[in-house]
Amino acid sequence: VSQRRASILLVEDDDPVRRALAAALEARGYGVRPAADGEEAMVLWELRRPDLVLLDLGLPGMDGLSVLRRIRRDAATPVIILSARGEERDKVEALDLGADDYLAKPFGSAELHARVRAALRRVLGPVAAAEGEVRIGGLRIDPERRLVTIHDRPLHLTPREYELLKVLAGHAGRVVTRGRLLRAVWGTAYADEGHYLHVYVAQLRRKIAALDPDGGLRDLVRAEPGVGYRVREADSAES
Amino acid sequence: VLDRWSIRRAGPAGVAAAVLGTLLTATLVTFALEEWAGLDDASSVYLLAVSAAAYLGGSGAGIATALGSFAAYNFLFVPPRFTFQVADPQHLLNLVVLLAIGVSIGRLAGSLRDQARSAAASEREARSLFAVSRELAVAKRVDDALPQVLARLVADCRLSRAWVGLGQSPTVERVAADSDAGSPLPELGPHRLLRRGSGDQAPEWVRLSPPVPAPQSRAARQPQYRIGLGEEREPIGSLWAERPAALAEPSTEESRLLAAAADQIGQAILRDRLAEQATEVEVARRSEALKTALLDSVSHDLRTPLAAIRTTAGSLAEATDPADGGRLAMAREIDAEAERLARVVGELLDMSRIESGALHSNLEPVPLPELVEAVVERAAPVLERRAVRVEIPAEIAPVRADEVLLGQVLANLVENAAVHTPSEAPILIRASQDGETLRIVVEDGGPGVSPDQLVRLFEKFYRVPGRRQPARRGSGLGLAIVKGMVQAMGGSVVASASRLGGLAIEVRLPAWTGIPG
Repeated sequence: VSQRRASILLVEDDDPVRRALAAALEARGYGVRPAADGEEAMVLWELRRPDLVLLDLGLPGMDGLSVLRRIRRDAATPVIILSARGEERDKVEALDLGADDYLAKPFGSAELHARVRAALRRVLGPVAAAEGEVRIGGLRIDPERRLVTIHDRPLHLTPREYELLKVLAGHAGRVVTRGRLLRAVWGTAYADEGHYLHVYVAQLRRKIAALDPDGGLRDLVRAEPGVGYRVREADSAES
Repeated sequence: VLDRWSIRRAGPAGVAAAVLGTLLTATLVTFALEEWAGLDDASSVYLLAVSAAAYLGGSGAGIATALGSFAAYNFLFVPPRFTFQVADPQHLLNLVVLLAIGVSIGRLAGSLRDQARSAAASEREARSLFAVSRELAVAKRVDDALPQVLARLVADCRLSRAWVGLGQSPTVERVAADSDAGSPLPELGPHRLLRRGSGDQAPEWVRLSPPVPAPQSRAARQPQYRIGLGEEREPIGSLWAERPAALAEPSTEESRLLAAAADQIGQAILRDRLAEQATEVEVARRSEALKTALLDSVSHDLRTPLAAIRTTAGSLAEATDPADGGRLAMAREIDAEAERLARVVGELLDMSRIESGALHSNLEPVPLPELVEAVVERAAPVLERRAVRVEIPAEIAPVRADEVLLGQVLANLVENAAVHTPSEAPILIRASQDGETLRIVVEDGGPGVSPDQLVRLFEKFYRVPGRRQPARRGSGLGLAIVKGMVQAMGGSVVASASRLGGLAIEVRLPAWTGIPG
């Protein structure tokens, strides 16, 4: 699939890290706009409207969460948070505020490229057809008919389970916080009722496993302790 | 001058003095006017005496003087003199009018005086109470204000001594303040306790004899009065007062003032205690926040260069011609070592958090099967092709733990088992519920650890002699961190020999009960 060069706004205050990341991303063919602080990032954001933002949370001056809020006010552009450990709470807050994913420093370049690819696919790739059919391994979700099949056999779900699976599958390849899942499926009043989620996810996984004897979908929904769930990447090509 | 006199409370002796004094004066003046100045009827002089007596001694004194005047004038001046007979009807009328006017004046003047007196007493009570409140409100601590408060109570309630004792009951009180701090306090003995009525009911004094040995010098004792501080259910001490034996029980106003002062002192003491607790909590919170901030900043500063190194090494590997195997291997080595350094840094920081008490655990219900699965998936790089068996009953209760910490604990245990055993040794994770306790065991089929080494496993930097050491050694803190984190979550950890032949490490944590599913 031929595409224009995807542009990435890279917001990171540490010079060596910013240079290294810019070089790594440029080597993969992305157009990188580096910014050393929040103010510079906002200027570039207004001027260029990039396809993806890599955002360090610990910025001097205007902090990463404020930058994220400003971006989210304007657009749904994917944002990947770069966090050091010890910023766990900020990380989850950023994800709840609408960041798409996070990378914990120091991350390897394989992880970096996988996350960037998954985030860009959401806006540029074929999965972007929002309400279309979703395929992940043997799982198929047809939102128009509210039909879910596993290896072409129908999966019977309660309305809540269906909503939960749909929200998860809509975030394929990315992380979803518990707070966001609860709000999307149960409503804002349930945002702190984490145990609902555990119970429903466990049920969902049991039902999927029953139709998936060879275990190909076992890693479909993975727990990320302290954050939420990560869903396996969707199949990229319409094969 | 009269005003001050009239306000002072007159005893029975004072009343008698007022009656007799005014009667005598009036009689002498009347005698002078009638005998020497030749006036016919000077009985109205007695009306002045009645007014004066009522003013000085109250209505009772006024009426008594009016009756006395009637009798004296009749006996001494009305013919036939020195008898109580009255010959002239004119004189009889005068006498009856004298009696009637005298009685009314006495009552009027007396009630006026009573009103003035009670108004003055109320004003004094209000003033004292205001002063007590102000002392307590202005002082930083109750202790600073108590001496002034007690001095004021001594003056305003006619006490000889007042002191405040703090303690659950009068027998175990310790003195917080004393108006007469120099001399020893009297022993606890019979005293009167103020019983506070509810609402508008006036307070009343009740005699109490505490079950303690009676004091030796009974004769020298002055009556003691006690008012409880704090709620009746949660006493915090007493306000004590001693009064000269010559005086009666404190008046209603004085009792009210003592009761109000006791209430205020009690509240101020409770306020002080709360403020002290809040300060302690605040100090602890700040020092913990400082530790956390320091460790977070160290963590950030150590990891940031490692992030640059790893990213650069990754770019270097990508930019290297795959044919140049040596260079590619070097770039990968840089990345792998930087990653290992990051892990060591992470473990050292975790240990610092545990030891400095800056480790926060956010306890919530954590479903074990899901967490164990996530942990095993994440450990895939260390496990390589080794299978991990998981035996967790589906109906097991959630564990009461911090999800992130417990995930790290289990990851450490799985990795520990993987790196210290040969690659064909099995690893088993099992869990069981024992009432309120969940036992999570990670065990392996490796060569195991001799019994005398088991207890030392959780020491920092301890390495079991002769045990297989991984090619890339960690910080030697793995199991010490496991122990610290489990303890921070309110659990315990023990090592034993596994039935599989190797090492079994059991983590015990409370089950989360009352949660469906």
